[in-house]
Amino acid sequence: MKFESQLLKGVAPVVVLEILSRGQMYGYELSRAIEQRSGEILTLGKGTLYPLLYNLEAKKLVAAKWQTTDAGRKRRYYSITSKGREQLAGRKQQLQELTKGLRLVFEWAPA
Amino acid sequence: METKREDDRRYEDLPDCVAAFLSELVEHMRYRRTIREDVRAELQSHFAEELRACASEQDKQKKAEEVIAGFGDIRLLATLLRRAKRRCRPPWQTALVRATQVVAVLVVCFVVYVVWFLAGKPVVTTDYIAQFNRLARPPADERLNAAPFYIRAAEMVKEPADDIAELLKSEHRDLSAEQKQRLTAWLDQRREMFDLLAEGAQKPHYWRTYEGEYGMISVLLPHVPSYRHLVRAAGHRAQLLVDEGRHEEALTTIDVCYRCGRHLRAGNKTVVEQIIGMVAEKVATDALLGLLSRHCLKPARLAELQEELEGLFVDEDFILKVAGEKLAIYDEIQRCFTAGRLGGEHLYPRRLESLRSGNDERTEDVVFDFVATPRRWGQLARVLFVHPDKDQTRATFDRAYELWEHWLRRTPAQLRAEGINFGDETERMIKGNLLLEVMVPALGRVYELSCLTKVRFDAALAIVALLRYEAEEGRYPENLHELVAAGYLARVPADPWGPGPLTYRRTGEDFLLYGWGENFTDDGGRRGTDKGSSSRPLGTGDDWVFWPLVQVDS
Repeated sequence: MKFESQLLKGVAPVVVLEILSRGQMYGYELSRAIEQRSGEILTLGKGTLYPLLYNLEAKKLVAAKWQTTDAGRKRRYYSITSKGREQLAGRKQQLQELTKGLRLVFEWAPA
Repeated sequence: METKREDDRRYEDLPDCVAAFLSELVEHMRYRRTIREDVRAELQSHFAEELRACASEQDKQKKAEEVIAGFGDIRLLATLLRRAKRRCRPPWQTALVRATQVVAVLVVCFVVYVVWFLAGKPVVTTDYIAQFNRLARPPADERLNAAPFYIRAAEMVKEPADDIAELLKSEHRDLSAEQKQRLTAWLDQRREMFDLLAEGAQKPHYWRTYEGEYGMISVLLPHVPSYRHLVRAAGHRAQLLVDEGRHEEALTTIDVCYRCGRHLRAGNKTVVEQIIGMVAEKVATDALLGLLSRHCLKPARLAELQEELEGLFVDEDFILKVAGEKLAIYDEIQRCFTAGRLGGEHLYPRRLESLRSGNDERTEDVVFDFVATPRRWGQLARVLFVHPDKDQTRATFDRAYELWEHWLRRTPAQLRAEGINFGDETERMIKGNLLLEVMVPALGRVYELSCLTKVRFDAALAIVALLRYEAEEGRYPENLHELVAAGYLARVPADPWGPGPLTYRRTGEDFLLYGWGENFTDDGGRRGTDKGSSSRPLGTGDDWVFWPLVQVDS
């Protein structure tokens, strides 16, 4: 499903941080994970993903390092930092509150 | 070739469109090479993962095109990646980059400013040499001018041998018998020079008509050394005649020295000319006092001598004149500052440097010298950014000049009472102005020399009168007022460094006459240990004793 970019803008970092909070991943893997874990609802364009990762890195919310696989492939792995975890916790709570509010609005029926 | 092979390895399993996409992307990023290569490697790895499942080349090509499309607009992506990577820089690196950018901007501004600065050129609008010539020339016929005689006489002592130049520079009292003999032989070969000097000295006026394209500074100084040699030679000749007991010839030479001194010092002359005039008067007074201390002249001759001396300097105030100096400095201001528009009336370094080095040639590499000499960078910055401009320089000089005119009419003791130190105050006023620092002479010292010239002449006159009084009355007067009251002297000589007249005291068969000297204190007529020099003829310590003279072994 295609979302308005502005709508996704505030959510995408939380999604990325949430997925990375479960373990380190490289770009392609992360892209796949977002699609799979969101049931293909959320798809982050590659043109959005990498600038987003670099921005999170600049804010010290994620850390990146190059690793070489057994097959000799070089990959850049991203992992969440403690600062990233703190921010994730705060953002998640906000989004949960937002979701709750939206649900109430959507499910409201006149008495 | 190496780069091509690397690229080939890099995109070994990837379709050409991926290679082209990544190359274009990193090129559009316009960022540091290492960062771009990092991004390229990461995205290449991404493509490799995306295409891993594709079985055929066709599938790979198709999938690659899909992924590329998924990246969106390549320029926008490059911009986003660049911005994100920039944010990843550590703060010190950001600060460094910003500082470098600021420095680069400043350097560009500096270069533009320097080019603008150097584009300016001075424009000479006023002929100050002609103004000075008009100022210095009295309303008299050319036949009454002593200058042609002095110029010819000076030509004859233009470049004496080093040993003779050294003898000429020495105080006569310090010369040995052998040195005096050598000097006598040299002077005897130049009788024509003394004839010319004597002929010129009889003229009522002295003026030179200057001309030159390089400004007043170039026409004022060249003749100075030969003039100095000339007056010193005349002084030594007078002293040698005294040594030989040839009184009348000595007195004639002394008269010539005084007249020559008055020519060079009185009226509107440059400060340098006035200094030489003072030197001439000093050597004349030295010779006169030497003669009086060693030989008894008859009262009638003393009276005649006194009358001659009084007539020589009647109405003479001995005040240093700085009008010529004013024109010389105005001239340099117009030649040392650019004229409006380009260069904006700033100091013109080339002219300033040629003034400093005393080299008339316009050296084109002066600015380069400034830049190439790190110890002069501070000065260069001063010239470029904070040095007073033409109007400010002229205003500073005018202010100083106004004060000089006032101070020069006061005695050192009066200035001291007002809390003014001529030299220090002048230095303070012109401090920071490179042109005035170069151009304004050490006026404080010259002013003292002019006061000293006057007091030495007054003292010599009083000494002649005292000797005459003693010759006629058989004793020295009780005080100088008695000398004046008896009609031997027109007025009591003032002490410029003291509160009243020169100090006089009878001492047995002789007398003591002295001034308080530079310490403004009466030390009881005690001579300083400093023998003195050409700039400080009476030394620097204690009192300045005019009589009796220091005894010298003959």
